[in-house]
Amino acid sequence: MRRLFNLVQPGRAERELAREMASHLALLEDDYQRRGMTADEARFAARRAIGGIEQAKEQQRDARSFRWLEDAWRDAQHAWRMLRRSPGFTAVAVVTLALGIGANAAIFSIVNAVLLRPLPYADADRLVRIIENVPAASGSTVPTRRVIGLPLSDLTAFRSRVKTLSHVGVYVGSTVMLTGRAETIRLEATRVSPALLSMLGTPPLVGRTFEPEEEAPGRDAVVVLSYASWQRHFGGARDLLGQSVTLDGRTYSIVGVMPRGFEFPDPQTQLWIPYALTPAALRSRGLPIARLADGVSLQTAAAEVNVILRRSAPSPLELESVQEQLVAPVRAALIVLTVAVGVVLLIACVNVANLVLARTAARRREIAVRLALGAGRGRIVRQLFAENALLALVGGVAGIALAFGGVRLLKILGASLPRRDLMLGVSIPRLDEIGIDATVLAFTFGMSVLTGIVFGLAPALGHWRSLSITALRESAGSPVSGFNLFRRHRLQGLLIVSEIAMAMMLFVAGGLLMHSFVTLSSVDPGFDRSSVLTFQVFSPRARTPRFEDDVVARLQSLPGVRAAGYAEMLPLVRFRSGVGLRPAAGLPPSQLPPAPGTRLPPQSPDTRIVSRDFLSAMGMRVIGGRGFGENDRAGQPTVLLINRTLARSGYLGQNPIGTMVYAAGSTPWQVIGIVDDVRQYGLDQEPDPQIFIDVRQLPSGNPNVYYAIRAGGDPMARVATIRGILRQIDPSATIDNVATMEQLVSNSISRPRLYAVLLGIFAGVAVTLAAVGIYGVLAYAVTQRTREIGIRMALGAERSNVMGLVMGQSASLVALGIALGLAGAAAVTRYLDTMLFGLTPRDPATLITVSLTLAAVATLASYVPARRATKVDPLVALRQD
Amino acid sequence: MELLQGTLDLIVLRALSTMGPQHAYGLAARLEQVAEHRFTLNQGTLYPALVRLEQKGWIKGDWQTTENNREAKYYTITKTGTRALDRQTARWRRLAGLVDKLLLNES
Repeated sequence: MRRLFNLVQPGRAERELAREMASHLALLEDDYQRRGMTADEARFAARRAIGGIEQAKEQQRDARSFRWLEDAWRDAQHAWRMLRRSPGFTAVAVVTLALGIGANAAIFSIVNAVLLRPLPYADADRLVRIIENVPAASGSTVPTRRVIGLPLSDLTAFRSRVKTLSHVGVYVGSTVMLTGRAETIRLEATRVSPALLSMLGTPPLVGRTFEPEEEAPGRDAVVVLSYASWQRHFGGARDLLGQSVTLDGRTYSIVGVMPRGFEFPDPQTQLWIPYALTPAALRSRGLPIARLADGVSLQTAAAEVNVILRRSAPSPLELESVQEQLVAPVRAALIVLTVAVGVVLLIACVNVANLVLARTAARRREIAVRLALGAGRGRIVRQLFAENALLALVGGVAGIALAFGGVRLLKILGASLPRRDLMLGVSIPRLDEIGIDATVLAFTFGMSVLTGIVFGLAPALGHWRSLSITALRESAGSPVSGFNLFRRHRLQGLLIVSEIAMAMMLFVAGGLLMHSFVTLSSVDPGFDRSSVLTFQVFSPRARTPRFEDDVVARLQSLPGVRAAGYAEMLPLVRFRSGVGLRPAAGLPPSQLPPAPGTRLPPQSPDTRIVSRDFLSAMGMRVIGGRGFGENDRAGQPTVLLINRTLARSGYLGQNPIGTMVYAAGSTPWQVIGIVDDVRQYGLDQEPDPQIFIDVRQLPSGNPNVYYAIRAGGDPMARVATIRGILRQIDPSATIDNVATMEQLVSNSISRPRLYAVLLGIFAGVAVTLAAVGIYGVLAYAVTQRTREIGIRMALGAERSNVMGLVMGQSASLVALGIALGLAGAAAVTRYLDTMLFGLTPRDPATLITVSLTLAAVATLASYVPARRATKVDPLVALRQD
Repeated sequence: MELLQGTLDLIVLRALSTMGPQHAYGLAARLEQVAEHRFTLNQGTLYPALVRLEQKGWIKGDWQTTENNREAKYYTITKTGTRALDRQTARWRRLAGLVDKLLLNES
């Protein structure tokens, strides 16, 4: 107790001590005077006798309080001074740690937001989706896993039969036109069965969600807004409850607003309307979402659902949690990134450990002096440890700053244009929720502490034995037999090898992903992506055939527009519509299997319905025969174009141009031309056999076709002009889903780009750190060996010999590190397999390039200290010490 | 002659228990006198010992005035101190006896 008291009130104890010393002095003086000295003599004698008052005080101080706590404070102050005294070392160490810790904090912020934090629903882990595993045999050429569509007519029966699910709701995405305002606005809506919102359990921000009886037709004219659309289209007013809005010509009443971050089922949803069980709706299907009954496991519920739904869904069903289903596409990549960034941190630790090790060695004299002056060995180790802990904490703080930048970069890189109509989701789910919060801060702090322990152990282990006074007698660079930089620094050599091996593994992974991304982005999509603007037009008149032709004619008359057309679907979209195809003359040819890497066989090619000039607007190339002409209208002989893959398959003979085929309808079609292959589903998907039909001869099934115009200059700058033209044709028309083809191509590869950039950055950091590590250790070793090098040069060694000696030392370490790194990479890169396009994890070109680059970087890093070794002046070196 | 490790506490406790309250200077003088000046006690040893004993609660210090009107801190042995003294004395006797016996047998 008293000790504690002394610690918090050192002043009191100090005064007590001073008082006691003064008393002692006075008593001694009295004694001397009694023995016959004069007052002055007695005073001086007493002072002499009592000796170092301060010394006595110091000894008393040690005894009186928690010395270690006072020491810890003193250690921290001392550590701070030591770090400030060597700013070069401190800067390198802090930057290294900040890179490692910052990258980890940034990646952890994604993992935290995407994988760890539950979705903003009540008991989100009990919410499940019903997934259908369609085997390759039944109607699909490849096995498919998809969320089932439940016929709404079955919903009521399903609900009453199923016991393992406490709630079942269905939803389906749709779009609605908001009219009755200055401008018609197209909104993404989600129709939900009314109980669905209350099942999710997120309380509304304003008003209420739907009541179960709003499922009844006639009572369903109510709408709940998303936070974003409330702000954007309704001014964020709180008194909007009960206000009427006109959606698709029907009057709805606003009953509530959901809070920010409520994104069901996707971030694009701007409002929710009830899914009323009208006769028309009963014939449609909705996507089910359900809540597990209390105490029921996923497997039990799945077994029951399989039994009940056997008739409507013949494929095996399974249940999957909503969160799992959301994050499944990015989970593997996030794990890869987490491991990669962990390796970066390890390399950073090794690097700093090496620096600290070298620095501790350089301070052996300082340490020896302190030992000689009576410091305990444990005390010295603790002092070194304090320096490391301080370094780790400073690095952690700098790392947090870096992580803020990293998160911003991630949000830019991960941003995508989700498009429901193109079936394009976001590249990273819950991107908006990513940020540096308390969890991330706690994680980072823990990581800094751990880091400090890891690299702080190195000098303690490496120098425990050398922590002795004998170091005082050693002069720097006393010669040992043979020149081996690492004989006396075996730990450093080991650290360098492991650092290079880890950097090599990351470099291989980053190299593979970058190589894969370059391969992917340089795939010829089969169209010219530059200067093309695409958009959709929504108008009540859109179904009348003249409307589209009107629009196209006006677009074509705009100055600078080289071509304009429309199609029912854009390329690079995972959308297929097949049609049966067979030659009209001769025996039906044998059925061919799909070509390797493709999904559809030549007898059921993908079918695209396009306007006459769509191909030229997109820059697709006709490589044989002719394209659609003015005369290929309705009523004229029906004609179609085939793609190169179909032409080459041999299904339509050696020279398909001119062949008559049966496709849609009962009359034959003539093949008039061959179009170069277009990547219709995505840059990473091999082109399927495909035919093109002019919309005039087979009207499109899609009322909202996609327009494409090719024009010089910035395509986006033309949007206002186009809007003006549309108004002239139909004042209620709106233009939406505007994007350039460049954006769509870029968007389609946003995920691989994100992974390649991130792993590329990590690999770059790892290689840089490894280079810094090699440089640091060699430079230190050369300094330590100055004297020896001087002797060698005095005895006649050439500069090239010395250079070779130093470079040879590092070359063997680097070679060993690269070899180990390659072996390690071979063991782990197979986990990257699904993230790679156009190459295998053992791609020789990548492995060779990466090895050579790392070797070159390492050579450069060791060249600088080696060159310094050759500059040693023998006379100066020998005169040292 | 230097004091054996750990014996200073014993000596201080014993002196306080036989002589009554003493200040540090008096204790030092008294011990030197008893030892016939065969060892000198430096303040650097005595003061930490007093602090240590006070923290253990074996002695207690009070500021008082000497006969010459100087102020000094007088230390008194406490009840726990007396018990500790008994224990320490017994321990010392056993130890000293053992060492004596060993030395006799070896000679």
